[in-house]
Amino acid sequence: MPFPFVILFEAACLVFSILFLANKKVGWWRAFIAFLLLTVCVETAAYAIVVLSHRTKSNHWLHNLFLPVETVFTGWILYKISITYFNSKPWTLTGLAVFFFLYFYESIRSGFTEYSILANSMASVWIIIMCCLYYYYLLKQDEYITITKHAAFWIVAGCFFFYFGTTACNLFYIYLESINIKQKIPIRFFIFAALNFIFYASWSYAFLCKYRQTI
Amino acid sequence: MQVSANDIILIVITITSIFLLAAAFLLFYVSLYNERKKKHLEEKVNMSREFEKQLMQAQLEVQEYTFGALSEELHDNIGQLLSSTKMLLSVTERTIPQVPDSLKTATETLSKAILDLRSLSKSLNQEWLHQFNLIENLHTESDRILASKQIQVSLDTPIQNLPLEPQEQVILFRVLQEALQNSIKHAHATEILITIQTRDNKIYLDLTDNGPGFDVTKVSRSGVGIINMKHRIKLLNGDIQWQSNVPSGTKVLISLPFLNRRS
Repeated sequence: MPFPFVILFEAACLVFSILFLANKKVGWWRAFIAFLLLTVCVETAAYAIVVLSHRTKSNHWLHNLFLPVETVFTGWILYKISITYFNSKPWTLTGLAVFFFLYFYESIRSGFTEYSILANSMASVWIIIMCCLYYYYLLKQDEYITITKHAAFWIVAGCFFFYFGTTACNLFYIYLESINIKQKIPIRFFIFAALNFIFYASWSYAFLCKYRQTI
Repeated sequence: MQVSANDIILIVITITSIFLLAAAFLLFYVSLYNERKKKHLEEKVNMSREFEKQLMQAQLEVQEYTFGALSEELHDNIGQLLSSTKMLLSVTERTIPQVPDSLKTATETLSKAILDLRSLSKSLNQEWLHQFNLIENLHTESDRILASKQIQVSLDTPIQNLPLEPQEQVILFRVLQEALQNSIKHAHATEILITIQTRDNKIYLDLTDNGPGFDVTKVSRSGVGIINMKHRIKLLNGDIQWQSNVPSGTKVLISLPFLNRRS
């Protein structure tokens, strides 16, 4: 298994969040620190499970455990960001309800040993819709924003790039897993590394924008 | 048909690339639309400012026209009536061997009233204002106030002619007239100092009085005179501020750019 660069990106983003969001003035944005800390821990643990077991044990159960945390946090963030532009509560609640339905369905069916790809794909579609709605209502409002200084814009941009970019990987998940096992080509891993780089770079920049707002 | 692993990889990479491009395009469009919105809003603000400016200009033109008509009326009608009255009083004085003091005082008061009226009529006359510069107008205005012998007005300026259009000088003169009136009527000042100087392509006019001062924050929001002064200075792309330290007097600070002002 190649070294998971994702951990590095996440750790770098965590450092940025601690540096830029430590001030109490940022309000709910401080939740990013806790989330990123948890993400780094989970990713490191997931990597450790595979390395220590010499690839004999799967870490899917850990990713499955973390999936609801990630989805709820991302949904909550998008809800907080978009509530100033439109009533995002119904979208958030409906998305979460469908996600949890699929998540429990998959967990019961596969017994938590297989990755919850259906719930993950559904969460991706829901987040993409939330991002699109955010951009739509952002354009619809009369006031303009300075994009280079607008923290929320870059949070949504990161989510949009990541979840939209992973659509193909989610659609071809079974094939890519098969290719990874049989031919040892971790194409999904590389695509995710590239998308995670964009994702965490956007978030880090958003933290910088937020920090500039508070000084 | 069996799809090879390479085909799957190619399809996934292609779809991912297309989706990323689509996401980038969407963000680019959002950014572009946002910029257009910014430009549109700026244009709207500029149009609103221009409209306000034109409205103010129209108001000033109407006001100057009214002042002109009032000046003519004062000079041609009331001035003539007072002159006739003075002439009649002089004739009466000649017919009386012992002229009473009250009649002498009345004649003197009437003469003073005629002089004041002429001076006032002059300051209201727009054509007269266009004939010479603001500095000269201010000298005349300060002489008129000095004639009351109750208020000391000093004008301190090294320049003789301001680099402004006559019409702009009229606007500035009206602002200074208002400031002078405020110092006399509301502040009951006994000493007023006006200083005018040019520095760094700007004209600086300061009017300082020795009145009791006032609460700038309260008056600047509600005072009609002060609002008008602000509007007029805004029309000249300038800035006006009040510094008042109760009870040590008030300072009106005006600054106007005189280069590239029209741009």
